[in-house]
Amino acid sequence: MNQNKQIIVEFKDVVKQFEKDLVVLDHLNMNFYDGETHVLCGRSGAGKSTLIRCINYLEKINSGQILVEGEPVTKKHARTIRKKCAMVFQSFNLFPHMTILENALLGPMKALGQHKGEMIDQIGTYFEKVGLENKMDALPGELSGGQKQRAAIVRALAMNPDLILFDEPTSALDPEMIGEVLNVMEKLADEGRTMIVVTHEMGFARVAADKISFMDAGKIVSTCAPDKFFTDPGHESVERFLKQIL
Amino acid sequence: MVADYLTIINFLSAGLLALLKVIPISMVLSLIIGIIVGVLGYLQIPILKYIVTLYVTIMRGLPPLTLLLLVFFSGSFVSPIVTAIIVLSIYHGAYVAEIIRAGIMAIPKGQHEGADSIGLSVLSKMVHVIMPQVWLSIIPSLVGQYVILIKDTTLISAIGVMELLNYARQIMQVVYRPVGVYVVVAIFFFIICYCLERLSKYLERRIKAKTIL
Repeated sequence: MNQNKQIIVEFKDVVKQFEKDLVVLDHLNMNFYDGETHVLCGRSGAGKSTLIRCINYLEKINSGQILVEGEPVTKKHARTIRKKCAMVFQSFNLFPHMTILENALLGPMKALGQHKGEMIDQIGTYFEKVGLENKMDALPGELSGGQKQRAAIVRALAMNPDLILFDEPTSALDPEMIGEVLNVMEKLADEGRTMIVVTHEMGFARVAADKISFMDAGKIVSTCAPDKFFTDPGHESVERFLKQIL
Repeated sequence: MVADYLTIINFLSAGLLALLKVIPISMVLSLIIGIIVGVLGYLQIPILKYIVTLYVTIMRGLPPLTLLLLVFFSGSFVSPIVTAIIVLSIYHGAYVAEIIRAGIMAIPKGQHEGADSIGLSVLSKMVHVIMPQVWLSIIPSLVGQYVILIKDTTLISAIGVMELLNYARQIMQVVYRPVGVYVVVAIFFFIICYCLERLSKYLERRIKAKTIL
């Protein structure tokens, strides 16, 4: 089913250890494809967040190789890769001394060398898309959790990235704010954006994902389309996980 | 008596003017040194990190008067006032560097990762994301260090800089009021330190108002 799609991220026998005995990614081989929304799920500590943090070199792997659009993820290529792979964090990581508009402009201006005038209209449309067009001059501290996360999504979109990494974007939110962030993410998935999403939101995975992978102890145990994942995932640990979570 | 005090104040004002040259220049230079050394200390660049550690360790292990006399008698700088400015800047620069390094380390890891994730260079990250947040947390410590710098300017009389204490000694021989002279000196120092403290409170309030953390 991936014959016509280009590989955007390739994991080749990747090992990541935090301590001598703590293997978080265990000889991982995996591909992520252009235009797909790929959801990663699994229990806490399975290695999901570490996997996506290795893609933009926020974590350094111990062995193996990760390629992003054919370019190896190394210290030397880190900045180039980060310009192509935006990231949305669990705890937003917005810059508190800047308005959310300035937050969104900083990357394009300082990393991509674009001018404010070129970007402002484009970024304005992103703020409209996430429903924050009236809050662009607000500081992050003046916003709710859901608004902060939507602003963080705009900051990622402003980089015009080839891939967006979401690291549990709704985990730090109150239940009533989760929906507003997931709606935005569903819109992005519908637009055909390439996204890798670490989440426990199985409702989102069911409607928005092209593929769902289940991770357990640093390995990908199962990868399949949502229909198959929720009906016949083909692995006992996935079935146990789904029983507990649904 | 009033005439005596007017003479004292008038005479000491010349010393105060000398201090008002030494203090701001030393503060600015020590801040520049502190930012450069503090950021380098945080970045842990091979070789440079050892130089930074050595510099900070030596400065923290020396009394400022010893350093002042050492540099002055080594004859490196022609003028006592230049010697004083350079020694005070280098000496306090080491302490400012440690304050700045600690301030950077106190910024949450997520802020560094947020900046990294949008492809900022180390310089852009420091200038636009990290340092603006560092200032708020370090202003009280920085002001504390500058108050010490101001008090350390009393040491520069030892190398012949004509500052408050040297003028005080001279006027004492004229008016024979040692307590009165040193009360005026104390008031001058208190006013300078108090103004600095008020300025820091004002800056803190302004930065806090602009940043709802």
